[in-house]
Amino acid sequence: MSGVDLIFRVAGIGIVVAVLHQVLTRAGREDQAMMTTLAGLVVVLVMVLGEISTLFSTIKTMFNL
Amino acid sequence: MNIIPIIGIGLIGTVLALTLKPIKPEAAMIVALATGTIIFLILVRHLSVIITLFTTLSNNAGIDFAFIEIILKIVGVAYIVQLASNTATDSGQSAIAAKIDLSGKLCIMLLSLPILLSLVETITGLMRQ
Repeated sequence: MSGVDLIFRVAGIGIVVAVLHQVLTRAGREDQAMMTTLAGLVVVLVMVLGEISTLFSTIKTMFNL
Repeated sequence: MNIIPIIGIGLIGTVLALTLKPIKPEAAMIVALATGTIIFLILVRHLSVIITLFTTLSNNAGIDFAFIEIILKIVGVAYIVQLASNTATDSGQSAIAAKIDLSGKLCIMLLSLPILLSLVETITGLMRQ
């Protein structure tokens, strides 16, 4: 999962979580809204972390840091 | 290496980061970081070609490999530090970006100490003759 579709996925999850947050706050469940926001953020972070770790290992091997 | 997909990815990442900015600033920052990472991973293959050319040329020229190694390390450190400090300034944390820049400069300074020492030695050697 590399290239543009990672970016689209991350943006999509961000938008969905934001909409969910709004819906939940309107429905009066602020705590669940906070939980979904945090969960969405964690999912997005985990997805991007894989790419960042490949970036750091590539740079390490290439510039033999 | 065609430049078009790289520019496309960059623009798409910018647009998505911009749309996410008011809704969820954290996700916007992560989208920007992901775009930077993906663009660099595309460039990696071409970068290794340049690095091998650079090392072979310097070997032919008879330059000691330790210096080339240090130069490559400095370039790597400079790139990573720039990536991190730009991401920090983009998301508004200019103080953290300044700290990252400072640490990058210090690290490069430490890396370049051996070159400085050998330069001084060669100069004193010449002067003694």
